[in-house]
Amino acid sequence: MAVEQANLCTPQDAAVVRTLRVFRDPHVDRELEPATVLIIITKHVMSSPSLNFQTQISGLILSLSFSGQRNMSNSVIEVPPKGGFSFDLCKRNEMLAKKGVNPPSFRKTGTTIVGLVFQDGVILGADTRATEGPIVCDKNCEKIHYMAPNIYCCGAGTAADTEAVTDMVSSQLQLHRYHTGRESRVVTALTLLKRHLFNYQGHVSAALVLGGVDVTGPHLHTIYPHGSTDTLPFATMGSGSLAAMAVFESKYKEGLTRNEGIELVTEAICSGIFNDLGSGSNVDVCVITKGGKEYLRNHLQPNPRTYTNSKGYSFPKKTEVLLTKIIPLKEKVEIIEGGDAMEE
Amino acid sequence: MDLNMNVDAPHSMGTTIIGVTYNGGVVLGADSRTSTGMYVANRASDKITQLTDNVYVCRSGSAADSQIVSDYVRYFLHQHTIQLGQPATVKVAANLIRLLSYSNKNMLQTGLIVGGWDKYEGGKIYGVPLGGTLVEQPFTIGGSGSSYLYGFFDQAWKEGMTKDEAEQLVVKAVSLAIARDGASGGVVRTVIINSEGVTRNFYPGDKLPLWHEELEPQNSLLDILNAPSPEPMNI
Repeated sequence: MAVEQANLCTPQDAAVVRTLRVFRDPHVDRELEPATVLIIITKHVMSSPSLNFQTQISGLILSLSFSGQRNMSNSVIEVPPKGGFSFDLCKRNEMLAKKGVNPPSFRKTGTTIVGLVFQDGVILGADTRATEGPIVCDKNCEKIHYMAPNIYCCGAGTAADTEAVTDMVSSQLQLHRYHTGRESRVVTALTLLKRHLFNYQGHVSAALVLGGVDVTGPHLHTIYPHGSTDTLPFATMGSGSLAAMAVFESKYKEGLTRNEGIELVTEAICSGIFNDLGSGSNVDVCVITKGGKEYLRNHLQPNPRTYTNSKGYSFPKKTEVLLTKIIPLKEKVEIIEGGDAMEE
Repeated sequence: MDLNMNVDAPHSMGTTIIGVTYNGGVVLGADSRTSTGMYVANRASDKITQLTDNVYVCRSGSAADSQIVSDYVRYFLHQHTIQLGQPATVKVAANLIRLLSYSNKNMLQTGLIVGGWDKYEGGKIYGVPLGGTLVEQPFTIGGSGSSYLYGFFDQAWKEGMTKDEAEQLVVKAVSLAIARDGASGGVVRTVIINSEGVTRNFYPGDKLPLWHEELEPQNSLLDILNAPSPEPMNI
């Protein structure tokens, strides 16, 4: 421990250091805990009337450094934790990124997600590609998440964040349904999601399109990672949102029928699939009406595998046997009769 | 244009927001564009949100921050109304907005205009810009598009306008700002609050006047498509 390196400006400082040295018991091979040092120092400070002493003690404290045997390295003054989420590690990550130390690449859903309101309810659509940097890690993932029997939510952004946030709010909605005895409303889900995302100030990277039908009618909302929301008749999110929005802006009209709506949603998602690198594979569609919901998983599969062996592939169903040879081990071992009993 | 940047950029409202008092009430006006970086995320957003029956607030700056602040103030005002036993005054609403904006000035980035009508003071407009000052003014402007309107208001605003004059002034001002500010656009929404109640109006793009350099389309492709037969060449 580097107490010896502290700046001894006044005789009082020397007294503190002597006390600390005494406390560091030479017979016990252990570093002094920061808390112990703090108590000793504050006792000295409180017993001393002069202000100078205090300022020099603070200098002394700052120059102390504890070696990293314990996990309390570099934390000299224990500040009591304030309420709320601590963003310190976020700042550290930004600083590291500037220095070139990048965090491990995580799975994002590049994505095109869309929603529109038609005459009987809401239709949600999504592509099915999940990317990890430049690699497609899942060719057929599910981006339309269940929130309530009458509410579904499409998620874009970091896959873990969208999954976790939608799962969490879906559980909260279930509890709320038990509590109130009523069907969940879309604005409830909206408020729960936006509060959570705002609390994390955009670090939970989830951009969502929330749609559903409740007693007040059909609703469609978009929620951005920073917690702002919009209520719209048609919406797109994700990296392919511009391509999909172009289709919606030219072809959307009020009072679409179910089939027209599904066709328009499919067209918008296809536009994202073919024109955006972060989106691809198949189209998922979910139709929610007052009567119920219809989850059309892989409604359209415009990207089948191009070359497949027509005979199929036949893999042997067990481990390959390379060699059959029996070596009795008794020959390799020397057997001693009457040895010592085994010691544990 | 880096598309990835757009998805992560915080949702902000470039905006032009205006609040104007007239003889008997107030008129609040706003554009409707919400942008994420260079992309217009919502071209028909409603930036004038209700706090109570008689007090509305125009939001500008970060969309998330302004939505959360107005949600909290709506909740506090609701409690306050129940405890008070009568409708809250505009001054109380503005003060609540100001308390939240000032105490969290490091975290929030939002400029708000509170306007409404109550029976004690009549129509009042309060501006709460970035930082959390509270200023009561006969008219106030905010948002990125407001820079283009300071001179216009100095010249055009006068005391004791009628309701229609005030509303026309607001519509004209917002459309001027839309013409010059890239971050403002879409439609113009106005809310008129007076002793009789609240009236919401909506002016879509084609109803707004065109300004200097926004000329009628000339020789546009649409003419060629609509033309019955090709015109003979003039030598």
